[in-house]
Amino acid sequence: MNTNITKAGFLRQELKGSLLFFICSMLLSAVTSVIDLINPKIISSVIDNILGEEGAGLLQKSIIGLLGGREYIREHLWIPAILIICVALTGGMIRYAQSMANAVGAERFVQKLRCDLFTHTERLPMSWYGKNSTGDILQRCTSDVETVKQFVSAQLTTLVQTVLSLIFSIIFMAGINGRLTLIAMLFMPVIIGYSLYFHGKIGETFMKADTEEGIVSGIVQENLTGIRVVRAFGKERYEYDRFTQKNRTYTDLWIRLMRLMSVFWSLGDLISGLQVLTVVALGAVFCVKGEITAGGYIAFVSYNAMLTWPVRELGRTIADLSRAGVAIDRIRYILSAAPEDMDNGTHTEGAAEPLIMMRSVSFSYDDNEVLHDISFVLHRGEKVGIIGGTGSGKTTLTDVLTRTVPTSDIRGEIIYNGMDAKTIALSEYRREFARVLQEPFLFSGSIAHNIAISDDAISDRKIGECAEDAAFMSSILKFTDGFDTYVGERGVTLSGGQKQRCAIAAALAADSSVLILDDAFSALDAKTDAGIRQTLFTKYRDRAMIIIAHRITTLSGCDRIYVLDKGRIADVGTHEELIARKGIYRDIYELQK
Amino acid sequence: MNSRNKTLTMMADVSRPYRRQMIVMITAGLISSAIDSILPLFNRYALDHFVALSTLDTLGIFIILYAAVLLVQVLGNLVSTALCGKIEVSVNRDLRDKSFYRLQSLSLSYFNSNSIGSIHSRVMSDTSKIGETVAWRLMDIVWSGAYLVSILINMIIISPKLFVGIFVLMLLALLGSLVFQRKLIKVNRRIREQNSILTGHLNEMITGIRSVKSFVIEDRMEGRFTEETDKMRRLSVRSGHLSSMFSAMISLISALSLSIIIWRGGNLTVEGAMQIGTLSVFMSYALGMLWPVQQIVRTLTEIVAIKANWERYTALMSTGTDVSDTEEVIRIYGDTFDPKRENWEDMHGDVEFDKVCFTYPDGDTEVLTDFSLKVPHGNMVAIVGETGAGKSTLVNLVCRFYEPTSGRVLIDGRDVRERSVQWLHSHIGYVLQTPHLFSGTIRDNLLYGSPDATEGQMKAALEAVNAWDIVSSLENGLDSKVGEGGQSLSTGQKQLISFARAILADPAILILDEATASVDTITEKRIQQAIKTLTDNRTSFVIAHRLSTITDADMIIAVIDGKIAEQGTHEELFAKKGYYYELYMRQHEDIDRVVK
Repeated sequence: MNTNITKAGFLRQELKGSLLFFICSMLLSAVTSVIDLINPKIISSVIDNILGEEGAGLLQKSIIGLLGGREYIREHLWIPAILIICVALTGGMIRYAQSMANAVGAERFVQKLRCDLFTHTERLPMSWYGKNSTGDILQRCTSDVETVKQFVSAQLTTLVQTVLSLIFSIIFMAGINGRLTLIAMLFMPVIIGYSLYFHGKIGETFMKADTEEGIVSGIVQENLTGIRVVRAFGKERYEYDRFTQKNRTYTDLWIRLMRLMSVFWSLGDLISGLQVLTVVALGAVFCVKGEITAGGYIAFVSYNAMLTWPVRELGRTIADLSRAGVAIDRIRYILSAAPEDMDNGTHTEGAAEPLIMMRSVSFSYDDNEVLHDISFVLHRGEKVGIIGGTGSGKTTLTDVLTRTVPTSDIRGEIIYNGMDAKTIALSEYRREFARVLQEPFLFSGSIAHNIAISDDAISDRKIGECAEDAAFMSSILKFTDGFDTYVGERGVTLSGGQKQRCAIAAALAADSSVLILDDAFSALDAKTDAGIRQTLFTKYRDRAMIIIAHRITTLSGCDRIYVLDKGRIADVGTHEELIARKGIYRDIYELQK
Repeated sequence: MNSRNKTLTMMADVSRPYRRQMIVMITAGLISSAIDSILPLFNRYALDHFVALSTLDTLGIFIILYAAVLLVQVLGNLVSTALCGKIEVSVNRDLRDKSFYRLQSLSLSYFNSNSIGSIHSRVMSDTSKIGETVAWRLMDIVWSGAYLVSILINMIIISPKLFVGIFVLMLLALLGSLVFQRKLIKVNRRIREQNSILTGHLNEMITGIRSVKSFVIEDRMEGRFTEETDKMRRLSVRSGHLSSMFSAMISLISALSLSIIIWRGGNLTVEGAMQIGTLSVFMSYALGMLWPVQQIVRTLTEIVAIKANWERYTALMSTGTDVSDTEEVIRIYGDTFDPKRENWEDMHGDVEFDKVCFTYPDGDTEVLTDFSLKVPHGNMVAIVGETGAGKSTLVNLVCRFYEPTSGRVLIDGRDVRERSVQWLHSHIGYVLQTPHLFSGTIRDNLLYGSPDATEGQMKAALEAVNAWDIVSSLENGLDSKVGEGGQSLSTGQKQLISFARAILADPAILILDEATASVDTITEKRIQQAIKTLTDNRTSFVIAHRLSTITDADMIIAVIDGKIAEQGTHEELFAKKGYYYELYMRQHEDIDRVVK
């Protein structure tokens, strides 16, 4: 995949599958802007040449002749009436086709963009997530996408439409009277420039208002999450006063903004109104001098009126363009980040011993070496424990082992199943491991869905069995919907212990070669903890496991325990060996006794 | 009909404080839209007078009058929009204030049964929707209504005959708008829902990225997301189809009115019954009429649609509190926002449950039956049991988050209901399982419960819980930011700081919901020592996880499935060899086994 794309490249890539629709839409919109100008022409002809006495141009004369001549039409005015309806019908159909082409194009575009972003983001390395906040990524994938969609589907077409109808109108108007057209057009740069200036200026104030809104919203959020603390300290009055004060500041800013906006609108009205007045008055003068006909005058005034609004919008559209540019850059930031290579690499087969061997492995994060010279062995069926203080590198060690960190940053040798782990295809390699994370995550969906998260094909029987083994069954049965209980963001909230047991069940269901339990028992009471461990050590005795824990009791049954300290392996041995000698492990043991 | 009336009453209610400004706004709006309908008359005059008679005799007056009318209109617009904006945001502010005020006095059970997200959106988005409707939708109706009425009047005056045809077309446009707007509003609501589903999926992928990667389910996630974007695309195209049809219909109707005017009006001109200028002004009226018709229909549908927002808001405002003080109590002790601290007694810390029966408002089993227990000042009560067994019930009653169904809870010998909730809470320290720190500095958090604490007192409190060295090792010491929800500190550190905060407030009763969160052994030792300091010389209730913390408690209560199974001291319960014994042994058998 290309890792560094330009703005144009980005648009080219994302417009695949929708470009044709947009081109159609623009061509059709050119047609409609011509058609829009026909009816005023018919009306002016009727007024001048049919009702009035003016001599017609060559084209009009031949059309009038074709329809039966001036006198005939004068007697049968339904003829131009039908003509107008025909033109409008044609125009209506083309307009419908145009806006549908645009809508379909826009939706195809935005769907492709969303899916591309989703797919790409999902495959970015964990290290990238460490550097970007959730809110920021989410905003790039939602509101920035929306801005770009607006740009491509609405602003770009509006821009083309406005420019086209401006050009056509000028041509028609110039056909009526050149000097009057020139005078009418003199106002355009003023209107556009004014609109541009103001939108730019209002944009800044809007941003400030957004920030203020964020503050008010933040106070509500914090008050709600901390409501027990607020109550316990009796700080209701304080919270309310703080809120009203910020609420006031925010509101005052908006009142100012509203005042600014109404000045903008009204001034815009005034400028456009003066332009219309000039055209009406000067047009009358030209008419009296005989430079334009009455019909020409009416047509000119109505063309002019048709222009006022699009021209005012033009300024806004141009101001929006810069916003779209920023949004594209923000999306490109994600798409330019290099994703993990999931599929290139070899297979792993056979049953070599030991299953895992790490030889003097080191790992640096942002130039800080966080793991130094790690040597680690795991045989098939073995249960290995890891213990160490906060920040000693326990989780990092498993990240390195499962290649969750960029493989290129890992120094030293990891042998998996007798092969260099770095050569195995990542998608296959990661499936060898099932991890229960320190902070388990629930996907929105049923409990069954969460247990079978690794594979759709996992049978209900197996789901039940794994739930049983993870001591989760009794909790599930307490829910009215059992395994179909909806959990996740919008569902039932599970307690910390329930989440951990659900995650353990999911990890068991994944049927991996290695099970990694990263502090997976911390929210469980001692009884449940012991029960699950019992099952793991007997029923799953053939599965290799890495158990990270703070509690000595959790680890004591392991075949081998690694003691980590500041990114190094400080000691290794069985529980008995480790308490027999002086060291960190014995200190922890003494503390916990 | 009834609900529509309710919406109108509501709109009248919330806008009451701004009635005078509203009148000015409406008057200004009326003036400017009336002028909008007068402006074509100037064109007509220009045609019928200057052009038809080939004279420029009144041009000067014409221009001055035109400019004057224009200026009045612009001023009208300026005043009405500025006021409208002001009313909108002011109504929003009032509603937000009121709902926030309400939230501070609602019982905690409300917060247990409603998610933070939904309460948040009631305070922030429902209110702003109401304000917007009250101000702008009213303005829209005034503008387009007045414009429409004055256009209609002008048309009748100019030519009643032509008017009839145009009026029929207008009704047609009205009907069409109604049909389309209804459909559009439905589709657009579904689009918004679908959009939030998409955002939900993105959010899930980002926050759960570790799980996604470790289960290697990227393809599966992607498949689900693509399905949802498909739905989104279909809905949006449908909305596009509807609005395209709608605008095609409107432009067809406008062409129809033009052709009627050309045909019938043209005949009148041929007969000499109508001047050309009049014909053209009639045309511009006929075209100008369609826009306000659409606008009025859209506005009406939107006003109907805010009913849902209003209902959510009133539901919040009318939620009853499970626990509230009697008027007698409020008279002496004051209420939540205006406490009369001068009348507050000190608390000694004797707690007594007297034949308490209790059922949770949303449950049907009685979890306490005739429960009596005396906890004298300085005693420690520990509550043990499995995760989710209902260990918090006693604590909820002591804190008066709930009240007993029958029986009494006594503090210092008096029923808790005899004194105010605020008084009670001001003497209870509550340290939570998941410590909550407010954004701001460590100092802000320490001062939260006791705004007058000195630097020395803060230091002493931190020292008492073994947290001074942690704080002083931070770059900015007490002034270090803790981040939103205390993100930049570890869970153990947050726990210690929330202990210090509780110590500073110096409560007579302490409630400790023990952390189950994972902390390393050294920090855990610190926390245990801090708990000893904290519970020293205070009546305390500890919801315990690690039994080693509570072996010297004065009373241990074991809870199974919400009900009290055993109670007594450690020695008594241990000798009893029942549930507590089993719990305790399980926690220690592993160690014993290896020690052997």
